[in-house]
Amino acid sequence: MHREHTIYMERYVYASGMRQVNGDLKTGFCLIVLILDLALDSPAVSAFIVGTMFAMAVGLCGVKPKDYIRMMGIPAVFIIFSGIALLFASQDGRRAAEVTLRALGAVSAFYFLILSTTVSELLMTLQKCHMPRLFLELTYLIYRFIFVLTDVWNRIDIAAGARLGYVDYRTSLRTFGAVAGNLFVLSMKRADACYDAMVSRCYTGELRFLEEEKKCRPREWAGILLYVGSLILVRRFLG
Amino acid sequence: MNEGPVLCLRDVSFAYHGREPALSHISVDICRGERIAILGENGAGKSTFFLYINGVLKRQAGRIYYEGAEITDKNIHMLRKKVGIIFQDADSQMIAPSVRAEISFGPMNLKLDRQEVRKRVENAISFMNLEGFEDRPPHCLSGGEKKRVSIADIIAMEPEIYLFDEPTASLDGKHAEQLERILALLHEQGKTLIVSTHDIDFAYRWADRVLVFREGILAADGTPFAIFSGEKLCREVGLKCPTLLRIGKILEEKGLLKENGRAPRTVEELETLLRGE
Amino acid sequence: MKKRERKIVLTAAVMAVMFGISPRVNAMHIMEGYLPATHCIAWGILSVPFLLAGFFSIKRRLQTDRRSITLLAMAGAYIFVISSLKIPSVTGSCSHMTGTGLGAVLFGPAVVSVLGIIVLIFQAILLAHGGLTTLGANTFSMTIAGPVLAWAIYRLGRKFGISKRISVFLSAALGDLFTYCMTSCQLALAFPSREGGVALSALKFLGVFAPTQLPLAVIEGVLTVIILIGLETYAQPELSTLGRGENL
Repeated sequence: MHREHTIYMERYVYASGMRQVNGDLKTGFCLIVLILDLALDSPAVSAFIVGTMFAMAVGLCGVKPKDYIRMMGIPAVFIIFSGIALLFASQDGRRAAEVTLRALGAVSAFYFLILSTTVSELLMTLQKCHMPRLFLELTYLIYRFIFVLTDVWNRIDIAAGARLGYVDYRTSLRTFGAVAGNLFVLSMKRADACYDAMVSRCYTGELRFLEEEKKCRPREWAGILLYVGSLILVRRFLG
Repeated sequence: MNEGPVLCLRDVSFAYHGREPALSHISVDICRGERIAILGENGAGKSTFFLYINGVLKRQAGRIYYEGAEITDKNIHMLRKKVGIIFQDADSQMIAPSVRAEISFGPMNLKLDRQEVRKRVENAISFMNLEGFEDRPPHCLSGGEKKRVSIADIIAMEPEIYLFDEPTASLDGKHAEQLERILALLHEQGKTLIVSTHDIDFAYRWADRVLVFREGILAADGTPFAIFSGEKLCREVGLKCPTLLRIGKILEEKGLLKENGRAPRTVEELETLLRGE
Repeated sequence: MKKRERKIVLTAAVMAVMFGISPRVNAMHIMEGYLPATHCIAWGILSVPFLLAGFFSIKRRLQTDRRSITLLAMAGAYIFVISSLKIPSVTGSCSHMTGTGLGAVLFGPAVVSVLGIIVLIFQAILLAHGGLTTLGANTFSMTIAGPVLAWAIYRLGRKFGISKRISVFLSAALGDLFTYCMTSCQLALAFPSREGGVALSALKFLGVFAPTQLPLAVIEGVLTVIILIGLETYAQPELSTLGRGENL
């Protein structure tokens, strides 16, 4: 289970120095960088993004360099191996390298988004973009429930293990089925209880929370313009 | 405070889809400011009763009145507004990304304006001593803290009637004491409090009135002293005798109670009594 | 053996070894940034009609029974949790179930398309699996193409009286395989081979991923059957709340 990984990412967001920055600004910035990484299609740009995002994650989000490298490690390894697969499949070494770098750039931008923005800030931004409310509510509830289920799964799993549920391969498979079945039962009960709790507080179909208004400061705008400008300059002069 | 019962049930029955009735022919009047303890075995119908009088479950048979007005499907939101449940499992209640957002959920659903919501949230936070927790995500809190948040959530809605479903079940000693203090504060404000519990001693010392549920029916309704003195009922429903009542009986036998005295309900009263002698 | 064939076999062998020593083999998510921008957009557009169909089906259901929203959300979270489970694969490294075959059989392809894209989003955000730019392509292959086939095979199997468990196995395994074929095509369209164009590139990708994907599809089939048995044993009433009880 990647529970450790999940909590890992979340921990940084809540301790992040970026908490006070307006959510729309953060999301917009990361999306623009992501799009430019693809659109400008330049290894220099991608390398620039990888480097600067690392610096920003460490400097602005408070991530330790060692941790950042570890987090990036997982997709990075896969990207590199996929790059090698691409190399063999298309016989185009240059293209394979370009794609690999582009993917690394995109993942860096994406990671910055995850490390600086909470899921609910993200959804709030999408709501302002007029995404259907129902879809966003479903997304939000799934997000909350993922943590609930992960917790329950871990507990059931540990209990099953303590009763020798994983003592050999065949038993493991059987236990796996039983755990999955029980998890489903508990999750449905929980869903019911959660809905009761929402209705009892007068939920009528729209999830609304009080959000703090965070103002966009001029220096944040300046930072964004500077960054985007740099990307374009790198493309222009370094190809 | 004598304008009639705040909540009135007449011959209410309710069954979950395809199952045996969870509530059968319940009739009860609840007056403003009462402190009521609800006792009964698991599955006796206590939680269903709470969900029903909170307006989560829709009416099936029988009638329910709030402040004299009959509750139908059209005005059921009134029950949800005026009656608040603090669920046994605080985890089921937490859905917001931060404590402040969680507490704001209720008031926002009441369609109040933002100023009012903010004010209520701040009041609730200070009432429950949650200062400093506003931005924390609820799933990072301890059991006792989550409980406080779930209570704050209901306080922010400012209901008239508070329903506590087995509130001390998973709380440690310190938090259980805190809870009793909160109940006392709410009582001072004139709120009606209904607490379902397995803690007999708590029910004996705190409640003005005890309702006993058994297999979906209201088996008994009376003062704690009357209910717990009824040996037959206690045996049938599986209620143990509260410690202080047993002691009180012995004191009575030994003639140690004062002339006009009643049995002590709290340890403090017992101490005073014994020291006074 | 011709030179080209030898190359393919060599590639496959290299890949098998490589994935054997890589820390994780992922079930056919195309990683962030892999596809050029035009392709990302194109696959997104192609997915939209299916997603809309799923969305409206959910909306209709919620209009009659608002309570289902938490049930559906739990279903989505369930698919996510199942898909984040590590299973030891043939080559010794770890891989993951997609969970979408299971979803298709339990909840139907319409619902799974919408739940699926949300699960993909969270796999990207919480597990760094896949990506946002490749969401369109991954959605199309994993939450639309695969589940539709899985569901169709399951229904056909039941109609022709094939046993429940075999039907489920076939639907999950073949759904998985179809997803992997679709993903190979998506990659081939983005990276056509110099000599043979898209077709040859597709064959190469298919070949490259076959050693890991074929056994994975079988494993997913088996695990899906195991989970379904578990559900039947423990969760029959809960399944009927979702309105799928009669299917099992």
